[in-house]
Amino acid sequence: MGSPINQTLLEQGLNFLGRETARQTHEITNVHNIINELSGLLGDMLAAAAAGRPLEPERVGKIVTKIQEQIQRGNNLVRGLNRFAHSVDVLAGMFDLEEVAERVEFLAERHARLGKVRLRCLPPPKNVSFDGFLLGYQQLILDALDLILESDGRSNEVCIGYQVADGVMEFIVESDQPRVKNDRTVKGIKQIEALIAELGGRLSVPGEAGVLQRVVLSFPHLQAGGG
Amino acid sequence: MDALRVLVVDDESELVEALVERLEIRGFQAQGATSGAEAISAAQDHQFDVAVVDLKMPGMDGLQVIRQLMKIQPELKCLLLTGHGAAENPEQGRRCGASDCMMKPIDIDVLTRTLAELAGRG
Repeated sequence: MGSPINQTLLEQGLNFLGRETARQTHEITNVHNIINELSGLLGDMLAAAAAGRPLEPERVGKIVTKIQEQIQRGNNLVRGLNRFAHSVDVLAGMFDLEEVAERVEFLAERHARLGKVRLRCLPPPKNVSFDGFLLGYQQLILDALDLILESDGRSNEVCIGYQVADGVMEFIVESDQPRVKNDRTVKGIKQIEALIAELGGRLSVPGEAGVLQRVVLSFPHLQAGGG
Repeated sequence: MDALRVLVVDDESELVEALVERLEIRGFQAQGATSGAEAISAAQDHQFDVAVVDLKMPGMDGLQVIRQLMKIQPELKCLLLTGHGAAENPEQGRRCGASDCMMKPIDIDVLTRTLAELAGRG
């Protein structure tokens, strides 16, 4: 992006960092709550066994496996959250597109789950690095996803993809079904337009007026390399 | 005395299954639902004494679910579960018709006592 990050970008980035961190802590809390119930259930079974009821080893084994799965889920969440927190280590500079995509996929999982849609994240082109504000790009993609999820109608799947050609980088968020714009969509579009303008990019929502299916975030002036 | 009939609503299916089983071990007649729609359908088919409803769920949130459940069964007592205990949650819950609010993780002894109290058997 070539110029220092201004106050607006910093404020929005901080807001995004806090909002997404809070969302992920909800997921981690869910994991704790499930482990709490499963371990409690094991305790109940042991108490019943002490009272003379036969313990079912197969049943105990299944509960232990479920606990291990939740611990793995928790580890993945903590690892993803940690990587996301490191997004502010270097606020602006050269970033790898794959790095952006990985972080976006982690964050988008919860948005998609709450929006009751399947998430498909396409791998970005390899070895593409660009000069920019890492938090800002993550926020834009997540905001574009929310734009679709908060519009009226239903999607089975929402896909996040990346394209780089002739020095233009595009982030594309697309629903498999057309959705209908509502007041939240209109407000969301204005917010994305304001943020993307700060980052030197452009938002386009192709298609009929009132319909929302594909959101394209274009950055024509990025110093993209590799490919 | 008949067993208390409890509906447990949370989008985390593992939590619902475990909690239902733990309540049954303690003599409750418990049924689980992993979405607002499932909970509403259960309330249309069966009578419950208390519903334990998680606040944060995809689609319909816990407050909306409580409103709908109480339209179907006006006598139903609802206990709102919250993950983070934001200050406004208990008040929001009461405005939507919840009789009480409890923070997760659940202490099963506190929960069973609360369920009995809400159903007038405390």
